[in-house]
Amino acid sequence: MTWISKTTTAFGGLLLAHACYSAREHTALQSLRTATAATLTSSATATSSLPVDIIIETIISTLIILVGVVLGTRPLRPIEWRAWAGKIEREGEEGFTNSAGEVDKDFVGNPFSTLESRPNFVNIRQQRKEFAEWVQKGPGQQRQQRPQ
Amino acid sequence: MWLTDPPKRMMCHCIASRLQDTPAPAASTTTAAKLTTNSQLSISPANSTTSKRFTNKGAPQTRPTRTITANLTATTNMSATELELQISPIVQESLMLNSKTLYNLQSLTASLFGVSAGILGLESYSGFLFYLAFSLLTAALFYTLRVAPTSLASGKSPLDTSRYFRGAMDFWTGGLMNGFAGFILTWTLFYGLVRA
Repeated sequence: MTWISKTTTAFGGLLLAHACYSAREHTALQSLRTATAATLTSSATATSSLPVDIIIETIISTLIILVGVVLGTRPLRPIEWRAWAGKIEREGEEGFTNSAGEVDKDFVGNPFSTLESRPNFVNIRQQRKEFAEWVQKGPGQQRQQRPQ
Repeated sequence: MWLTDPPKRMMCHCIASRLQDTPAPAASTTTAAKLTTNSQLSISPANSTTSKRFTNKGAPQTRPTRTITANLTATTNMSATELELQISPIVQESLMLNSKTLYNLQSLTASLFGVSAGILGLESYSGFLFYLAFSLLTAALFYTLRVAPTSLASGKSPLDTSRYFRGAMDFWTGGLMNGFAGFILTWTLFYGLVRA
């Protein structure tokens, strides 16, 4: 998604630069014309406003850059704990990528991981039973079925 | 088999706190009359604190029920917003990240609006009106592209930003204050560049 926002912003910036240059040239021409008119006929006309096309181009380019910049913002995170933890649970790392598609550096992972991996509560007898079954199966089947 | 009991019990707490992910029907009740009916809901914040305590000490020392009752006596003196925070806790990191994202966007676009206002040669009130209109447009666009797709899917009403931000006024009109200095700066700069 990031290339969409970058190309949009770059295109809008190009249009805005062109509008700026056009406006600059227009005012320069306008001042030159009033100066020559003042020397020739001594009736200076008031400086007229910008042509409509420059105004339209400026506004359109501003809107284009605006869309590009908004598209380039990083995705938001839910602030409620239950929505946030549910998002982690459902989407994992994929839900916490920035606009470039990389996982955020401050992604902490499952907030309940301290509850889930505690050696104090490991069921050692169950694991011993599983290990004994795994040993009894012999070397042939060990490659297919690894114990959990 | 006695060893299997504590993990199961702890997993029950874990699941209970995860069940908050489903939208709690009583979360919107803020009246003090329904405080007693909400008493079971306040298990979740108390449970998170107790679980931290368990992981620090390694073995459970206090029953969760005691902290729940202590929490209940505390909630009787709470205001509505505090109660709401107890029922559905806030992740501070997410809140800061979202606010920073919005602030960066507002500062950046305010400078952009200054550039276009300077090119257009706007003066006094028309320039400020231009800024007002475009900053409100920025908020609307940000809502449409970033907030709305997931916010509406999670069951929030339209134009409700409470999934990602606290305070609707900060979201909609915060850009008027945040980017004002940048707007004035680039406005005067480009006005001078084009008209000089």
